[in-house]
Amino acid sequence: MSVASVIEQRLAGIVIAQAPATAVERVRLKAFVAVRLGFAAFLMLAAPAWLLAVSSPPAWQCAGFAALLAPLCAVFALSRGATLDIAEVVSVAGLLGFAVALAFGGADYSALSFAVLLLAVLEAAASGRAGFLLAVAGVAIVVAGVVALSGAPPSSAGLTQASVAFLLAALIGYASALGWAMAYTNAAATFGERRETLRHEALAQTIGDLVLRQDRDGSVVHASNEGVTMFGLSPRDLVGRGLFERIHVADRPTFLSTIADALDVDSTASCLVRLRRGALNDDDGALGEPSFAWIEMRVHRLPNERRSTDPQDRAAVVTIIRDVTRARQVEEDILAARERAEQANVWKDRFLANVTHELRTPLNAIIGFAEILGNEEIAPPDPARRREYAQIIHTSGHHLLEVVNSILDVSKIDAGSFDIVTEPFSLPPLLDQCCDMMSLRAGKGGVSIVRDYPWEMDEIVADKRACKQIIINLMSNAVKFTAAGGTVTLTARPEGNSFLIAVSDTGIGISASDLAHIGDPFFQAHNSTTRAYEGTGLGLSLVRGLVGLHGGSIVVESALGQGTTVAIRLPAHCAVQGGPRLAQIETVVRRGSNLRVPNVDQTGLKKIA
Amino acid sequence: MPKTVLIVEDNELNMKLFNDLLEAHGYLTLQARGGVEAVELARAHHPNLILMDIQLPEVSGLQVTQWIKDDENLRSIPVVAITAFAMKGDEEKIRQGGCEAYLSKPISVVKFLETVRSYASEAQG
Repeated sequence: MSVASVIEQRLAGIVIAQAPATAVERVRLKAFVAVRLGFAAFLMLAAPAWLLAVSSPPAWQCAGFAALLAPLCAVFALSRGATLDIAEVVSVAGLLGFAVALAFGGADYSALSFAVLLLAVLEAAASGRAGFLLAVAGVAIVVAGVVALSGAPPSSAGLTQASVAFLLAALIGYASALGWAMAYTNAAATFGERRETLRHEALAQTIGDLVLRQDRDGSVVHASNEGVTMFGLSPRDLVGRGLFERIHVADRPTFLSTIADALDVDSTASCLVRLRRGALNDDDGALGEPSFAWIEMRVHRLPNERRSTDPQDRAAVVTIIRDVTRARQVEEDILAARERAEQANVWKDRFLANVTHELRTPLNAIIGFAEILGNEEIAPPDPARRREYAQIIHTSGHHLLEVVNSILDVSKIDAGSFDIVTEPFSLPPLLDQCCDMMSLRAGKGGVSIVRDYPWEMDEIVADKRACKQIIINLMSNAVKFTAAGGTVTLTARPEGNSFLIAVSDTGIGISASDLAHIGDPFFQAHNSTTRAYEGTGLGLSLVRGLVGLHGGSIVVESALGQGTTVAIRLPAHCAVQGGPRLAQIETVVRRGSNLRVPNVDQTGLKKIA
Repeated sequence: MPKTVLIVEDNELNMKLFNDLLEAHGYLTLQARGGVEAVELARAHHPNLILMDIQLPEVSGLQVTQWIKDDENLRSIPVVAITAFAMKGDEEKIRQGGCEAYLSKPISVVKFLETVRSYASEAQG
């Protein structure tokens, strides 16, 4: 078994017994033990030579030899669980003892004694502990002074040139070994630091977040590379006040207070703030359109080990920045969707209430009069009156049927099962027919109908029944909402590849706030308990669905008290749409009292998809 | 002396139904199509009972009831609400509005007459 392997084994045993916390400490421990064991081995080899040369050594020489065993004792103490600090004291104490013993050897040995004192100071310096070094240096100076001043006794034994050379060589060897141990420890420390840095970088890259170190004021002292892919920012853009300047002005107080919070406590503080993406200025130097990313900042305090002038060491907190723009977008979308669903639910309730009302009103007449006729006691004896009652039941029944049909049509369109059958036909006869149908009701309400369309027009390819339904619905709405003395105008004309059909009235109009909701499912522009006008609010829904099936569009122009114009554009040759599709409704708030048919390219259009 | 009933109802057919039923049973009737007209008629004729449709043009029947109940002279006239809104909570809302009774459309003729009889005779004058 070689000496080296024995040393290696001892080393392993001691390292395990000491269980050093860091890699650097482990290396330092190993180097310390290796140097001392090597020295002890050298001493064992040198001892026989010394005994041969001196045959009966004087007491001071024996004491000196014993002192030189101290480094070995230090290693022994380490293996018994003593700390490295104690072992270093023992080891240096041995050298100091050896120097004192040499001084007793007489004047010839004084120089060697000084050299050993120097070596002791060097060993103390190698420990890296300032206090220990000072103490050893003090002891060395005192010993040196005593040796120099005490007028050493004459040498008892002559000091040969060879033994001086041998002893000096041994001292130089020991000093070199100490130097090697220091260099070895330093190299390990440097390597360890580099490896630690690389490990941190790998960690930062694996996390995929931007990792920063910031000082107490929020200035960035170090930034990882992730900012490049996340926000189009190089670490250089973020260092110093770069990050702070990119935080949205409104979020800066949050940013600073989060850092302050993290410094206060030993837990992670976090916040959501907006960070401006990309360069602050465009290539041509102009301020670009700002684009902000929502970021989540998690801040944790760094251990504040020592004060340093190195700006890198001013870092007070470590900050992890994650781009949460998408997550936030999703969250906002979910909230918006929920709001829409809740709104739709409110409309549905209102719709249901309206439908119920529309069904119950004719039902009341039907059931009431039927009950009168069926009850011998209360039935009127006059046959004419009984016939009148039967007529009322008949009329109400038809009205009920109309309501039911329009509900059915709307839900059919909703479900996508409303089929349209297109055929070529001429519009004017159909328009005439609609005007004739409406004129009776309009006349009752004192409303006049104006026919504003040519007698002859190119044929349109569309579903005739649906077109009639659209026009009747729009006209009956217009008549309903127009007071006596007003007019309802039906306009139609070809426009490029489409036909424009518009119904204008001089009625009550729609307020701007209600106009914004028109075409929303189940929306009706009246409060539920003050209903001036009959109707389920299904009229426009039905129109919207039917126009949508034809691939057409709707423009509604109105203002409260200024009448309403609903303009429909149908393609000249309607292609049957695949699935259910609601027509787009554009609304225009009418300014001034002029009644006109709106054009699509008018400014101020509000789009409702 | 026959009792007078004020009917507030905007739908012609329903107005005819209530009117004919009441006349056939010996009541005098007054007809109002809107809230303002109803209050004017009530002040002028001080009926024994008011039948109030809740869904009225321009002003809600609940509002009209409020006006009547706020008026010293009209307060004692019982108001029977008739509504085609039959959603949950409606009856409560209507009773809170100051109406003495509540009938939902479609009405049952027998129940209608019973209600009218009991409230019309209860009222003074």
